[in-house]
Amino acid sequence: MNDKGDTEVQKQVRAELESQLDTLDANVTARLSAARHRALDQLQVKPRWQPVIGWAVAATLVVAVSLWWQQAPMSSGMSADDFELLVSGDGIELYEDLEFYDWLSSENDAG
Amino acid sequence: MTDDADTARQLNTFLAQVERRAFRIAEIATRNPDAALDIVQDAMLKLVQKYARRQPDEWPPLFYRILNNRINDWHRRGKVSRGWLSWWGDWKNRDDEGELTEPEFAGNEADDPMHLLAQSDAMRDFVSVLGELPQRQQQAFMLRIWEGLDVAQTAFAMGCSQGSVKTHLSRATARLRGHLERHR
Repeated sequence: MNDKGDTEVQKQVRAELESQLDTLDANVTARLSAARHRALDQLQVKPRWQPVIGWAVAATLVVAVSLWWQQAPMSSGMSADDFELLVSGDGIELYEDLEFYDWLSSENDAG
Repeated sequence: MTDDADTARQLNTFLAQVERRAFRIAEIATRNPDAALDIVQDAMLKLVQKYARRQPDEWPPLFYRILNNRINDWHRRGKVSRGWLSWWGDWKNRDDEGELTEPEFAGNEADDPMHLLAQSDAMRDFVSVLGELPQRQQQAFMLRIWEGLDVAQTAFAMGCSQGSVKTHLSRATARLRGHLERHR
C-alpha cells in the first residue's frame, strides 16, 4: 500500500461526499435548521434562571434562620410567674381544666 | 448577557457548518434519514446543554463524540430489537409440536431483480462502499478525512486510542482503494 495512492482515494471520496452535500433535500436542510434553533433555545432559557433560583433559595434560608434566631430566646425564656405556676401542682390542674371552670361559671350565671 | 449572545452566535455558526455533514455521517451509518435527523438533533441539544460554555475549539471533537455515541446507541437498540423480533418470528413459525413451519411470504426485497440492479449500481458508488464498512472504520474515515479532525481529536470523538484510529483509517482506505481498482 502506498501513501500517495491512499491520499488519492481519500481525496476522491471526500470530493464525492462534498458534492452530495450540495444536493441534500430541501426538507432535510429545513429540518436541520429547525433542530439547530431548538437546540440554541436551550442556551437562552436555562442558564439565566439557574442563578436566580439559587439566590432566591439562599435569601429565603437567610431570612428564615434570622427570624428563628430572634424568636427562639423569647419562647425559651421563662418569667417568674410561669415558673411559679409550673412548680405548683394545683396551678397546672387549674389550667388544664380551664374550659370546665369557664362552663361552670356560665351555668352559675344562668342559674 | 453579551457573553450569552456571543456564545449563541458562535454555536449557531459552528452547528450550521457541521449539521449537513453530521446528517450525512449519521445517514450513511444508519441508512435511515429519519433516524439520522433524530441523531443529529440529539447531538446538537446535548452539545448546547452540556458544553456551550467550553471553548469553541473544543466543540468539534465533543460534538462528534456525542454524534458517534448516538449512532452506536442506535445500532445497539437495533440489535436488541432485531434479536427480539427474530426470537418472536422463530417462536411464531413453530407448530403445536414445536417444529419449524414454512414462513409466510413477506415479499423479500433481496430477491427483487430491480432491487438487485439498484444495489449493483450503488456498489459502484464510493459512498455506498463507505456505508458498508465496519462502523469503526467508517467513523475513523469520516472524522479524519471528511471532517478534518486530527488524530487526537478523532481518538477522543471515537473513545479509542490514536493507534486504533490509524489502524481503522488504514483499513477503511484499503477497502475503498480495492473497490476503486476493481471498477476501473
